[in-house]
Amino acid sequence: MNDTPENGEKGKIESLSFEEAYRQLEETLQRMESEDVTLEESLELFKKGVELYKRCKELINSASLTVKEVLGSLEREIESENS
Amino acid sequence: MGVAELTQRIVQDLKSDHTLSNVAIRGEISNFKYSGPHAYFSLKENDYLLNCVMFNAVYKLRNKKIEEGTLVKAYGAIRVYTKRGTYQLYTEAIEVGRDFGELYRRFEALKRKLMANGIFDKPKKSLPLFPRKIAVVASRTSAAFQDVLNTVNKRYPLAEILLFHTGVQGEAATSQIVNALEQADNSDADVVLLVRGGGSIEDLWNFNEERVVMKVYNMKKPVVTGVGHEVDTTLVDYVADMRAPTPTGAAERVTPDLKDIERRIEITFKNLSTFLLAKLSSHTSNINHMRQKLSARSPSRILEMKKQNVETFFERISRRVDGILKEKTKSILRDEEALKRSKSVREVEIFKERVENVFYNLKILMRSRVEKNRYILDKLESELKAHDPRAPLKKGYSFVYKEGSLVTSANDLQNGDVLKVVLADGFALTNVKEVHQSERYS
Repeated sequence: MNDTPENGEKGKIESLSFEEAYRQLEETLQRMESEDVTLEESLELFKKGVELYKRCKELINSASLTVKEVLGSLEREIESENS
Repeated sequence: MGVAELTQRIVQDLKSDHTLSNVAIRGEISNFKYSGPHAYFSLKENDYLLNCVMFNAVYKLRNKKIEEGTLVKAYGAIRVYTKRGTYQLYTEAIEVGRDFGELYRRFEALKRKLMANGIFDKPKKSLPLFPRKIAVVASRTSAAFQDVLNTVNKRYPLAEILLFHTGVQGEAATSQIVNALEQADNSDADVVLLVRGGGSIEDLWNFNEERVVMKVYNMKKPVVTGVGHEVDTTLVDYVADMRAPTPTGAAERVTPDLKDIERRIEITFKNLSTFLLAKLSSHTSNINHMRQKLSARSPSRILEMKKQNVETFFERISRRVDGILKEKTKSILRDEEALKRSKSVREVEIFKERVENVFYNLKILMRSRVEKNRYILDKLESELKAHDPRAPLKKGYSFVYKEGSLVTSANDLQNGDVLKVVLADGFALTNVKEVHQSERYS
């Protein structure tokens, strides 16, 4: 089921970093704004935009600051007042 | 506005300025004097002068007299003295260092040297827009580190903070700072923050050490410094890719505000929807347009048009035929009238009348002739009737026939003859018995 292009695309979006998802959302809009996009393409772009938008919102809503102290080559998570 | 309103406005403006509400000012003491428990003095730097007041200075300074010309750092807030319409530093603390002047001279000397070597001309690296990992070189217990955490958590909690702990004061701290910077530069962070809270020039001296400055200079990753207060400038600030006045400021400079980004995401998504809708509606109207064009060319439409043509044509023909018929009828009526009035018709009529007259006369003539002949005939008939042989039979006479011949004389008879006696209404056959001759008839 996961090898259809749509699922593949969706799976990819779900693992994007915030920066990448946000950048792709902006790119999707730019592409949508260009003249030579067909109706079918713009529907695809919109679908992709929805997924990217969902990914961004998901990351924003679930964001909580991670703090690690690096000691030499070791890292340890530390408590902070905010986490 | 009045003076009071203006002054109040300036008072408010100064109060809301966070920088001026918590400053550390470096300068030379001038005109220091106690008045009661309070102290009044000025800070001078070249031709500039700042009026200062220190309440309860007697206790704060332990009644120490501060010499004219002493280089000090005064901490406090800039406020308006409303009665005089002047601003002054409401001083909380004064820092006087023994090596203060000496450190300041070393600072200036190193600054000149580094400047001359072009160290400060290093091109600035750009900062990441969306940092994934932020390396923080700071003391783990410092307020500076806490300020960074608070700020990043508020603005961009998507980021991860990597703390590289180091001491930030004392001779040993220099190596620690260099080492922490080295580790931070080799980590997978996107940007390095070097932060420390405010203090005297002595406290901040590690950040003026040439080794630290050159380490920052040689960093592969972009470095943002936030050392001391707004007024404090350390030499690392000159080589950092971005200099922030405080640790909080440094955290702000390396993080986007997620609320702004969220707004932009909403706008972007809305624009995406708007564009799609616009595209859809433009296609819809194209389709409608084409459908209209298509239906204008459809066979049924053509048939409809032909039908209309035929109907129009038929109506025209009908009207035409009607017109022609009416015209013909009119002309026939006209012809008839004309005919009636024409001479030949009258002649025909006269002739007809004449013929009728002749017929009439002929009829009368014929009738009179018939009458006349009928009279003659009637007369003849009655004459004929008078001479009818059967007339006497009705008076009792009879005809006697012998062998079909009328017997007119007894002499023709003999005994035994069979006679036919014809009466008026019949006949009888008789036998002759005797024959007698009468005299009288003989």
